[in-house]
Amino acid sequence: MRRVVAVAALAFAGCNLFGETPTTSAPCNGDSSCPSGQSCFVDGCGRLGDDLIAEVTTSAPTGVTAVDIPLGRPHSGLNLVLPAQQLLQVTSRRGANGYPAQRQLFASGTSSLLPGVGRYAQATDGTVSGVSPLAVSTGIYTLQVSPLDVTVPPAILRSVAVDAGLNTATVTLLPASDVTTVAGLVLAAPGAPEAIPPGVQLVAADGTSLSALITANGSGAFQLSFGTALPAGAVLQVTPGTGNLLGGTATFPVDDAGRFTQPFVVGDGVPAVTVQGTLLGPDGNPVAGASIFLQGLVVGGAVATVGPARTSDAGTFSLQTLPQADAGTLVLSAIPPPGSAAGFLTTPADVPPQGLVGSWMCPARPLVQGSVAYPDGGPAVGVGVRADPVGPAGPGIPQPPAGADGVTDQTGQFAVRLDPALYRLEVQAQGGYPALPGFFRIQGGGMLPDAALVVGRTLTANLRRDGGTVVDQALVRIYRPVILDDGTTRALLLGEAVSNSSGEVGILLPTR
Amino acid sequence: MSGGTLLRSGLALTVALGAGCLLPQEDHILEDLPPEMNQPPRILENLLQPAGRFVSVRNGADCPNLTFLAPVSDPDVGDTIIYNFYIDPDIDPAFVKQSQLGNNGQADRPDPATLEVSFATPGPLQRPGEHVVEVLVSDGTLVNRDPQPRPVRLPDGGIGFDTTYAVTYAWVVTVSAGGCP
Repeated sequence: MRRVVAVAALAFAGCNLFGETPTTSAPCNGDSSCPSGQSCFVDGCGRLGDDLIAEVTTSAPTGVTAVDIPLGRPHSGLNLVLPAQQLLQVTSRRGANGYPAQRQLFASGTSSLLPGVGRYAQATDGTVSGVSPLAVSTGIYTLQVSPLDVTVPPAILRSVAVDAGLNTATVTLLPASDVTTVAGLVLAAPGAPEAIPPGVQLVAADGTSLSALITANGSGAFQLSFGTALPAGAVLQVTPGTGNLLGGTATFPVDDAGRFTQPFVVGDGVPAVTVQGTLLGPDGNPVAGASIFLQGLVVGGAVATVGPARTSDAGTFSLQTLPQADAGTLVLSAIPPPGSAAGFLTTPADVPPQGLVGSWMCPARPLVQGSVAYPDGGPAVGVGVRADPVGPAGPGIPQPPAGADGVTDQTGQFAVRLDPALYRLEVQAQGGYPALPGFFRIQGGGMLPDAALVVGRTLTANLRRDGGTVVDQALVRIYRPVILDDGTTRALLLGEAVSNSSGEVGILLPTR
Repeated sequence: MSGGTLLRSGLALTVALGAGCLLPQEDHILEDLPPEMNQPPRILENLLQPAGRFVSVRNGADCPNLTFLAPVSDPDVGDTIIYNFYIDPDIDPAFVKQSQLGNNGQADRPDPATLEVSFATPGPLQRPGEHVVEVLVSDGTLVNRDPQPRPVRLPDGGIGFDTTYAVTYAWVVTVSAGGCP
């Protein structure tokens, strides 16, 4: 009987018993030897699509930068030519001259070709000429120059386009004649400064820094410098000092500089309270290893985040916080560990000055199922599947911090538990088949569309600088823009690899 | 047979023997080489993203996700590479993400260790101030942060233990309150 079962298992396993490998097509000799619409790759003719974009990240003495290169119609042995240097030369001026003192430069933006790919760059420089080299990847940026001299307000330049190569931008700092300096006082309660001096900064309604971020002194006194007039909607932002894990960020409208004659009272000078309880799963059993956060308005009106506390094996936790500002202003979030049947919980929590003891029940984490097959329809067994959240499921729905891994079973099926979100779900490379990624918006449980592995083709490329220098150890990531179900476009990462010492890179990609 | 003939025959035999073709072979058998010792993985620090060790971001829910990338190389091309990300590990020693890298049979692994932080999600990076984001990369099984030796079969049939390694990199992230203009 046992033998019959074994034979049956072998018969069902069929051609996948030893892991099916893709059939290698006949080698080609140039694109002209391939059928119409296909190109020649090292592993045969195929079509990868004409919409691929390479993000090439390299290291240079000036810093690490990425350059985005549309590949057009890809074929074997692409030459990817990178600029000799990838820089944004930032000139900081004050009056007629370059600003000669120490300053921080910070660029934050996104790739212009790869929607959803964020980019940052920062440096501190003190070049007397005011010209600072900043290693910046291609993209569109908001550039901020913040002098370390806090009497010189920061300056911002928006929509700075950075192309491949050498770029320039000029930022103008306010001259001393246009700067107003005010003195103020920030207190925890009337007459009582914060135990740990907080940070204070003037911020515009759109989040732009109007002054340097400085730390108040022990008595709560501070001085801030800004332009001649405060724009409508400007606020004084008070952030908890280093080591103050309970305090929140308080904001005070300061449309008028006259407001600084009165102290800014945060109102958080009250004892901390304890929130403790038990986290339960949908089955009523305790959830171990979950992260608990409390977030929202605390007494005085500051926005605070405390946590994480970890739940014990018995599902219990304890967390210190300041009491709520008003009923319903604090939200408790519980994030069960990956794989748990318990899902992400966000729920209002009333935390009065007496503290709170309670138990909370997580919703069921949706079970998402799918199947993976070989091109011939046979089940792909033992294939890894990984889901990473890349966006919220919809407006107002928090994005979970982590996804999940799974493996296909003997029938090619997999099942993973995923909180609602937009995911990049990847069927991982198997044998000679390339990884198969896609975006999926998970709202609840259910079946994903069946996935079929496809034959891949290896995109080979040679990386050189403008001057012909070989570029080794470059990280090359290949993306395809994808239109999501909500009409937005997002870059889907298809594959990646690091170039070798000859500047060559090969990335197995799915054919179309 | 004359004496001269005998002498010639003896000389011929001596030459033949002296040529070495009849020398006895060594009688011991070469043993298998011991298994190669494991070599540590390496974080390719010249390709880290964010590139600098110090990162400044704002924490508004509208701010773009902050992505940490750590490409990894391991000369032992068959090793499975596991990575953990931690945020403020001195305060919260539990990892926030654990995963493993794909294997392309080459030292430089095809995909980097990756952590994407959304400011729209409750998390430690939403709190203004300085934070530490650490990636730990190991070629062995991890118990907490400690890579576990892996058993190997020795030539004599016994079992030995091969050291596995963990390497780390940390970013200092300064989070400022506010949205992204």
